[in-house]
Amino acid sequence: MSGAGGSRDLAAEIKAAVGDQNLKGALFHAVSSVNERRRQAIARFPGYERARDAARRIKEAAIADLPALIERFTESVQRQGGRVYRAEDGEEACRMITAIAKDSGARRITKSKSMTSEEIHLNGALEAAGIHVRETDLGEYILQLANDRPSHIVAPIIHMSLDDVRRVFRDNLGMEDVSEEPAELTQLARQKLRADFLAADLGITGANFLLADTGTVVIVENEGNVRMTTQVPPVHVVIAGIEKLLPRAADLLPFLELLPRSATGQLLTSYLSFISGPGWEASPMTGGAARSFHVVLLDNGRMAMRDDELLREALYCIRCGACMTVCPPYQVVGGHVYGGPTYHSGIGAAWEAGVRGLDTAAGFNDLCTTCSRCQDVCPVHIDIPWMNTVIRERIAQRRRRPRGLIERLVYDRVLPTREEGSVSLSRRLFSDPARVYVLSRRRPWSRFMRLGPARAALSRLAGLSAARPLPSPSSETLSAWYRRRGGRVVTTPHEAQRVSNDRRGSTVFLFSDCHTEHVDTDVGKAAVSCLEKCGLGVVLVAGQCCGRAALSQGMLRTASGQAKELQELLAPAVKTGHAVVGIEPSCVSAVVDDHAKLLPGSDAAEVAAGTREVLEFLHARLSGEGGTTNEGGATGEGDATNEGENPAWIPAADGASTPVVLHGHCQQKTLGWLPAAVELLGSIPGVEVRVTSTECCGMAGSFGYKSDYYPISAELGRRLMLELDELAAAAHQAGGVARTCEYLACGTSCRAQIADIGACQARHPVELIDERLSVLSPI
Amino acid sequence: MQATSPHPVDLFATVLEATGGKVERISDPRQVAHAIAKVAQGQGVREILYEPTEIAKHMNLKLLLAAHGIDLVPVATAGDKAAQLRVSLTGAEFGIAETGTVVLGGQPGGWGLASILPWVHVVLLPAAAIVADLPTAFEAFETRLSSGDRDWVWITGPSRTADIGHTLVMGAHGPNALHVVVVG
Ligand code: SF4
Repeated sequence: MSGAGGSRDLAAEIKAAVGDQNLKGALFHAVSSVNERRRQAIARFPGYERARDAARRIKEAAIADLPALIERFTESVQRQGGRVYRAEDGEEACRMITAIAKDSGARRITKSKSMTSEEIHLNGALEAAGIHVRETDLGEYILQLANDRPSHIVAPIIHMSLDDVRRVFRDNLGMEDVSEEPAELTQLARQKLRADFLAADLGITGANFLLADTGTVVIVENEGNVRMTTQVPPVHVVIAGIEKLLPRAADLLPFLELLPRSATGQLLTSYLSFISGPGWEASPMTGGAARSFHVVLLDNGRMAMRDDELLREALYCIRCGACMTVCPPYQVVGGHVYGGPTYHSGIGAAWEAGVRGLDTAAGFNDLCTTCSRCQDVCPVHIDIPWMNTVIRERIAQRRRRPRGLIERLVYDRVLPTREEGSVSLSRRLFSDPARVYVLSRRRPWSRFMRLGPARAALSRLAGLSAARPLPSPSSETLSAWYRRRGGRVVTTPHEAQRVSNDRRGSTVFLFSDCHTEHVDTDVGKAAVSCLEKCGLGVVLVAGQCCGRAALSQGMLRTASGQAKELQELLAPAVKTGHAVVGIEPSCVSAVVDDHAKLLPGSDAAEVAAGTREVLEFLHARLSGEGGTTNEGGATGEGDATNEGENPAWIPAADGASTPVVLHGHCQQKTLGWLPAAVELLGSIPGVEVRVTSTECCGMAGSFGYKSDYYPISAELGRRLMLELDELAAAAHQAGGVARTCEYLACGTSCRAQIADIGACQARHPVELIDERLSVLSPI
Repeated sequence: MQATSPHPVDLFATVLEATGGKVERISDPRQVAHAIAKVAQGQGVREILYEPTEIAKHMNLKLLLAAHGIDLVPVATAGDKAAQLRVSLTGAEFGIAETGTVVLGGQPGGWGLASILPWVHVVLLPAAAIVADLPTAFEAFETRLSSGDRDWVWITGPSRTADIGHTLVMGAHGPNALHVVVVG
């Protein structure tokens, strides 16, 4: 068992989990199928975005009005003959429920799945009072037999294979010969649990929603164990966090539309219970005992979360588990490693921070790569990556020590930082890619860094994985090349302002992120070329990091400073009506998504609106859906260039068709840019596009370089390679003849991962587009 | 909306069957009794756990089933037998075509036990109670919930689990089969 915060050896847990073939097999199979079912269910639900927005609004209002809702709910339940209790913390809730059980003379309890009860260790408290508790959700029952704990909030034994379950039955039910048929095992458990249901004198459930105006508890399930737990015994106790309250019954609709789809891909689950009181007095099952209904409302840190601007958002969570099943590190190691005592994966850190404190969250928060795949699927639009970033910063603040001597003498000179207090070499390195690239280009540093002993020392000091090759900066930066070619490069706010004012007509400001500037210069050159072929003048904005790297280290001070400086370079262009275009998706996402959060009250939102990812921009431009610049801008000379013009594509060299497999970058998917890229590539004559479904390549910026996390990164990389190779094989087969299939990836990490793990070369799509695009109009 | 969206009853049947339920549409009371008798006979039983419902009374189902040698045992008087009977019969207040759902309840009653204890649950659902989509159904449902009918269960297919071996299995704790007779 883990979860003791600071005392965890996360690296060892990761190693063990990645080495566990059984876990990997069970988990990956399960998450892949539930993700696919969710994708389909959502694709078939045209009202999805409407429901998401509505649910979000309702949750915001409900949490804002929480104290009043608690009052209203309490009155409603009491009017219907039930009782409501308010527990400050877990201990009090356990005491209350034990007292209810004792007062009603209960000795045997059946219980349905409730993460809230896990949070407060309710079973232990009841058992200690001599009351027998039987978990009745099949997964929870198996965990109870095995003395294990859930690894997912919806599918508690998602980490267990069929053989694992058989072993639990054999070892704990005294069975010699355990069936290999899930159906037979389910029937076996059904019979065992049936006896418990019929003998129970008290039932405990959680709640998915509490309706304040009608005093109704709403519970969503598939197995029917909630039904049995609530219909058979005379006493029903509900344990629920106060965040489950909704103002009115009428508010429930969007949640009914979203929760089953997001959790399991169902339209509705098998059972939806609406319970508002003690129930049916004439029940033949209660042996004449009077029925009673009790709701224990748990605070346990939730009111404090409500007062915390950051953690408040976690209270909107409807516990669908989607953010877990799409989470790349979770998919590899599961919730026991990537999680705290009760809550797992992305949203888990916020919940553990809220109910147990930062130290518990610190035990696993670092596993979030901020890939943002969770943000994309969260039915209530929770910005989980941002929460994890800020939690990371809070953890660092809390552990802040003064800078040591070596830090002041060496690190501060080579890798200075804007953070206060001690900042480890690892965080310095990973938060400043440009400086690392510059250093590793400069001899003798570059030679030295590649020497065995130096590399080993660096690995040890900075936690760099020795298995991961270091990136090789190109000999000339993109901006140096562009200048040499006679292009305009701006690096200061003053220049940015002047050039923005001077430029007339169609100009784009291409923002050269650190990776494109120093390493992937060929991608940058191809982007410049494509933009020019479209008749656009290109101004290169260079030399300023967007802050994304610092952000991923939870270094908000540094990130904000960098964001501000980049904003000063981009804002003049946007304000004069020029488009800003970026290449590396995570850096573009920093500008369009993170900067406004880092710099509240600034122009960042305006700059975000004027900034585009290069493929999405080219797609709009080439399909005549806009993407022109300077339309009615401050310079007032917007010219309607190539509206509706058909791009002239150059035929492939040998006239053959070109199959390509595209792996989308995480932020490119989350921010909705991928479809445009796919469409653009597909519009090139002869190009046949296949797209991977793998969530993330596993490199995620610095994540894949860190020795502790390398096993997860490499495993994700292997999975991506499997899919890439499968899709390539399908392309070959479809073509009948042997055709070489090219791999394309938009992220620099993705391409590095494909090179490191798969020993294959992948290009940025813009390179292929540049090869095939002819000059549309001279500048 | 497509111009040729299917009739709600047909859609209800299609969706419910996709979730593992069975649907028959019958209007003649004799045929209804026959269909229910067939279910009981399929399970090898002569007694059905029963929650009295308007539509069954109206059709005189008790008598019609007696002709098949089948006895309806009301939940309220079933005693210990309630947990033993393999087949049950209840009514339903709504059907939702879009989701293949039957909605039971209003006030607390024997429907709660009858819909979960047995292995096969037969539901009598008036065709007129089938609503096309979830938002429309929810509006009607919410009106009743808010005006004092506070105990309900929405049932969409048989009870199920995919916990063991990540394989879908019907009949987890509740019915393994949900059989809806759409009347009218
Ligand atoms: S954070 Fe969002 S996606 Fe994750 S469990 Fe909560 S509601 Fe679902």
